[in-house]
Amino acid sequence: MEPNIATFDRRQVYRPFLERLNPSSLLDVEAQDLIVPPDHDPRDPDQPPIHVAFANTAELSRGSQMALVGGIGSGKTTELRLTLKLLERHADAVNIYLDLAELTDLNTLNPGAILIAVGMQLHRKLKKADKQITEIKLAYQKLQELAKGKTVWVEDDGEEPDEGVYEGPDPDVVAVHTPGLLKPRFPAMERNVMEVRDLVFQIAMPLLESDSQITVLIDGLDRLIQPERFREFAEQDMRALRKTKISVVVATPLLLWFDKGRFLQDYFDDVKHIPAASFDPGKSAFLQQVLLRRGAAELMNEKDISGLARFSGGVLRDLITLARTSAEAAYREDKDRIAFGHVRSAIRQLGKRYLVGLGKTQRRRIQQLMDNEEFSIQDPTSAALVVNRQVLEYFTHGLDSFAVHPALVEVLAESE
Amino acid sequence: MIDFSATTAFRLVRRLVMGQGTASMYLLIYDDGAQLAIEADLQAEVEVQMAIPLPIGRVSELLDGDDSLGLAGAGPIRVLRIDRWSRDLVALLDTHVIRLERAGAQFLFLTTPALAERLLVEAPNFRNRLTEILRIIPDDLSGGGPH
Repeated sequence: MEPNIATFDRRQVYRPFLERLNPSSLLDVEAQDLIVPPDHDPRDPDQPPIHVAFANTAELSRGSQMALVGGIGSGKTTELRLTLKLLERHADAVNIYLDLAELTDLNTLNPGAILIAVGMQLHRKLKKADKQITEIKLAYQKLQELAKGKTVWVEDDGEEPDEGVYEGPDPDVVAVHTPGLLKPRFPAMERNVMEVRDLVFQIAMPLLESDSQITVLIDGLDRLIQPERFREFAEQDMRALRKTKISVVVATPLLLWFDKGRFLQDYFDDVKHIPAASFDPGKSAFLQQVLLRRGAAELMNEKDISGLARFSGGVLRDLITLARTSAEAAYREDKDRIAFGHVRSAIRQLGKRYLVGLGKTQRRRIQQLMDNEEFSIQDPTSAALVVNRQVLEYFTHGLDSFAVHPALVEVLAESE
Repeated sequence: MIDFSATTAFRLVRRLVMGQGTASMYLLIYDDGAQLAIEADLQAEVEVQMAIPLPIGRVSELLDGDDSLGLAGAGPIRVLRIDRWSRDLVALLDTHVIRLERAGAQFLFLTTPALAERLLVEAPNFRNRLTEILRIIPDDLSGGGPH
């Protein structure tokens, strides 16, 4: 008879770690308690964490509009999910989490589309009896038509219609508009947006009448790199929700934080910024905790965990990427633990990723920053470096500052 | 082009086996003329190591049909060729990369060095969410060197 020898399967050493680093869904992240909630506002240690501040505002000042700004991979979605979870503490809370990328193509999004998405989700939250109310049924039907479009067959009168031409009651008169001297802060709301707004109000009526606390959390718009597109949605869709008691929290593109016109601060009731996290363990153990919560201590020593934290530059997604690449490197070499060499190889891989696209001008800006010379975010090349995370924005001791991503620094010299 | 770590189909699929069940997106850069050999290697390795077929399509297929990004029914591993430049497609990839991630599958994007460089510059969200960027070389040219 064969002896019963259990075969060692190295995959089982690394798979659980990888699954915790990269769970298949956001719900899994929450169910497994993998999120380390920040314990204060990243810009002010005396203030509550962003998700607590947002939830408090939504609960106390219904109809507030809040913006969350941060670079790619800084943890905006995590903050939105934490806010959502906290808002669930009240039984009358009606919370809607929208990732617009799941619903539509953000690149071809029209004003009014976000409102339609809000209306559709609100309809799902209604009680069955409320859905049967004629006005609500009609409003929902109309909203669906606006969302998906419709075809109406009309009798052909043989004449070409003039597209977009406004015909007034008197055909001999044309409209001549003289602009006013007082320029409005925000452009006029488009007519179709107002139409959608009225339909959304109609659908939300039963919830508003029962004094429910409605909060809509909108994710995905931050992925619009050009801030002008975001501004358009804020001025139309979000403004349409202004006079309701529906609160909104929206993730916004990073460049708006540095906008000289202060659009975010002017438009939103509260704006929160997530800078890159501090990677100095003496100041904060947050990044290390993120890895420990996901089981890093079982596979690597404390020094290497700190190394990953440091070379992530404080970018949460880069931290996860580094841990994952290190684990894969260790597995590749048939090792049972992640060693310094695997961490180093992961850092270099990440650094090389950030090398892509660096021409002479970009390198000059980076060198100036490393030499402690001026780095102006108003310069388009510098702004692009920040958007691409080759340069990271920090907030320490009450001051905004910039630094080259440490993983990029690691490979920069040898690439020249 | 940046000298990214080199891999072969055999080694890459070994990693994919370990990461089965977790979403991942690899950008695989091949040298001109090696595309067919690499695709054949990948299909053979996935079949041997994972016992599943490996569908290979063009990334432009993500734009087809009502199901934007065409993710319905995607298998656990999918190869998508990026063989021409399309600004619309890159914009779609960049803003909707989260949907690929949430599909829970392993996506292998195959492209040339020139297209990879343009893509990485113009799609920062996509770049940030990539699991890894690797240079892939045919198995018979590996010489035992790559990872």
